[in-house]
Amino acid sequence: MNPLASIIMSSTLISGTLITLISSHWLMAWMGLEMNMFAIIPMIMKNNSPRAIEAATKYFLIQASASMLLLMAASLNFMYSGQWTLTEMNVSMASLIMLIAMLMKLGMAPFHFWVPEVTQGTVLLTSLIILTWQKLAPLAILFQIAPSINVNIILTTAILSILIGGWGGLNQTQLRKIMAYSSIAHMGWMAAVMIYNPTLMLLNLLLYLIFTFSAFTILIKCSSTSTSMLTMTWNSYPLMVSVLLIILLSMGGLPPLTGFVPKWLIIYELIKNTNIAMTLTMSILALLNLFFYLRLIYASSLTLFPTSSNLKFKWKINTPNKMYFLPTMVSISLLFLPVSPMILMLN
Amino acid sequence: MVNLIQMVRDHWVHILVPMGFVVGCYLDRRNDEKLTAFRNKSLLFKRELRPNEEATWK
Amino acid sequence: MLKLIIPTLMLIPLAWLSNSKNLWINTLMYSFMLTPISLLLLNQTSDTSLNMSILFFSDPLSTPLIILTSWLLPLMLLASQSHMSKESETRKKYYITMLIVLQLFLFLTFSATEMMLFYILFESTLIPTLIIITRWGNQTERLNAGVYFLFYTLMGSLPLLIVLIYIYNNLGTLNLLILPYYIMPLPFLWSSKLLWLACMMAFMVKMPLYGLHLWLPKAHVEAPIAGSMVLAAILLKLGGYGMMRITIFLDPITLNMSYPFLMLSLWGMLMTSSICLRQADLKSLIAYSSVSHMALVIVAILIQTPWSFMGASTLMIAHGLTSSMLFTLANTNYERTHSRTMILARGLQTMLPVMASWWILASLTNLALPPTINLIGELLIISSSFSWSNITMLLMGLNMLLTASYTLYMLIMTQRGNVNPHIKFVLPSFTRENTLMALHMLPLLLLTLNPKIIMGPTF
Repeated sequence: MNPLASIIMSSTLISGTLITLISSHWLMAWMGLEMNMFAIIPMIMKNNSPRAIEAATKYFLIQASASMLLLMAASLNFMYSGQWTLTEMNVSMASLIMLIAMLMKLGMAPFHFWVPEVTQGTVLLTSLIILTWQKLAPLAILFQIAPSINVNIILTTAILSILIGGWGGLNQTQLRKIMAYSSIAHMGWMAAVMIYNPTLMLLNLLLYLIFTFSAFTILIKCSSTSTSMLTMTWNSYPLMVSVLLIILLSMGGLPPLTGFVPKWLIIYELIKNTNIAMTLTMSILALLNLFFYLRLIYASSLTLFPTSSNLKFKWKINTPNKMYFLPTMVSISLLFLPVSPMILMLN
Repeated sequence: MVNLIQMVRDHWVHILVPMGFVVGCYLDRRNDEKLTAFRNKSLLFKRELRPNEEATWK
Repeated sequence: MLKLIIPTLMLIPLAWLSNSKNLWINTLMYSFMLTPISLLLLNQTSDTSLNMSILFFSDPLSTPLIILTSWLLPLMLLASQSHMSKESETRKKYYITMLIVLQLFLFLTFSATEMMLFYILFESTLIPTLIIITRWGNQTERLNAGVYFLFYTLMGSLPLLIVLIYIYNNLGTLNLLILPYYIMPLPFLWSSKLLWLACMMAFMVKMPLYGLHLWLPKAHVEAPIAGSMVLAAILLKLGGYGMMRITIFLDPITLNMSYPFLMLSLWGMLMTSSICLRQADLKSLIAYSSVSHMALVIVAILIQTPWSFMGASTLMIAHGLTSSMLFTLANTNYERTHSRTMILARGLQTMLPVMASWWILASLTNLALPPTINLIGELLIISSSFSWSNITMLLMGLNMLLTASYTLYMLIMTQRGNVNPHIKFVLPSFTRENTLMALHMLPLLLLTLNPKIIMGPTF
């Protein structure tokens, strides 16, 4: 892409989200979301393949209809309560429609079908943006209307998202689709705790962003888009492969790693507030996620050739591309369990 | 002289584990002192030390 | 505890900074030196009989297990030298690091004061073990074994996490030292029965109870030698340790709820012993024999008498050393004949006479002959189960018989008979291997002189 266009697009993307984050008026929030959407569409279409154009179209249709629903909910709320404030979502119908709109934007359970398709249609960097940055604005809106959200609906969505995020990924070999499904599952965990403790949702979001960022950075570095491409990565980046192993286990929520922190706290919060059976179901469904992460781990790092192979080792070639963020992100996404009280204080 | 430097470079790793042990002992002792002080403040366990006695909890 | 934990942590930089020539010798030497440090924990000076800090403590139940763990690291390093000899240096270091990390997590698990901390560390032992099994195992089935290992344990322990948080919400603490004073007797409701199940299942899967044991033979058979050793010797004991710790929460209801599990383990003990009788695979036989011995431990823990607890903790230590020794013996065979099948490695007595004597010693320990601590453990368990119900005598007696027969079957199949014609060239047994066997055997024999130190808190 032309650098000028690229700068315009990314700044629109960033400012769109920021406008939504800081607005207190529904129209401003809507405008921010629209700007955000219009900026991401050219980014999706960056490589001019029919697949990318299809992804962009799908993304546009879903986001546009979600925005329309948002506008409708806001005007419904205005009709009955006479104000446009974000936090005053008193009409239950309006709040329901708003919830549905946000679920569509986030790609959560009943409206999840677009997420794997769209992320698979673009390059790795853009799918990283779709899976991380694009979640911020809708979640911010949900965070603000959290007190008026219907508990049953959001909990059903949460469980469904965790189920589908785990189940859908089982059958995939494409890394972008797998990451998309894992994002659906993480969104489910966030939705589950959203009503009871919204700050915990923010913590989970923060950690999710960091995990996804570090996993995607490694994938971009290795430029691998499918499981089979991942199998030869150890030849070029032996250290990256071991790091990817631990990051994936952390995303799966295995205890000594950071991924356990949000799971633990969410389970704690849910047990305090709701029934145990649902919490147990959620945590067991999360094992499905762990299963496909484990498959990636097997493919990438645990099945190497028994002896050092005679191939030309690519790691001997010095690559100029340095990643300054990666060490920080990786250490946050692995080692933060012992300092979890400190992370809680950040909220 | 060169030999000495070479030996240090080869064998300096031997210091790691003993150093860990010393640090661990030091931290353990500090922890013991802290817990003892806490215990000696409690009404249930505090008492005067007898002669030749080091701690109340032995 | 820190005087043990920090040196263990320092073993990791030691492994990575040692030059390749001294890699094995350095790690081996220093891990051996950690063992006497762990013996310091036996010195329980305080009148509450605890070596404690806020996070970690050790009592007569956990101390023997911690010492066993620290004893096993040098043995694992000794045992895997030949297995790792063809790997590149970085991979050797990676492997050693995994063993050290596992050791560290095990120390922390056995000494945690908080149930939640215990849970987290209990789970964290999974990661290094998974990597050891699936990265350095030999056959492709190891991937399957890794999946079984991980998911059986996680499925079992997720309910435990939920229940621990639930108990924490109700009682306000999960501290093992405070908890006995806080406990209210559980009412006989179906919900408290579910609570009991959730608490015990995690450890019963880990033990493993018959019926939940399918992951164990797979993991054992596919793991590299150090993986098999640490699985048999320590990871299974995590289950027994956890059960002994968690039964203080569950007071009167254990009396009722334990019946089906007692039956299942008595039955499973016989079943797994009989499975051993028709095994062709050496490592699988040893794995099933572990299941059968662990069933004894489960019975002892569920009976909940002081004698049975003594028996359980003694048998855990004894079985840890014995089965680890059997696995190393199986590995010496495997390295020479490149097969785990017993029928392909007959008549090794004529080739490796010293090894044959180690085989005999190990087999005799496995079937609990007098001068070993296995006998003490089994004697205590059998007598306490006899006083619980006379009928168990039948099952226990039959199990002793079956244990004796499969152990002798294993011994005879590998040592006696004619040498197979395809074995043209067998390396003699190395000093390294003999040392390894001796280091397994010595504590088994010497502890008989003073079994008090491994008999646990009820002695």
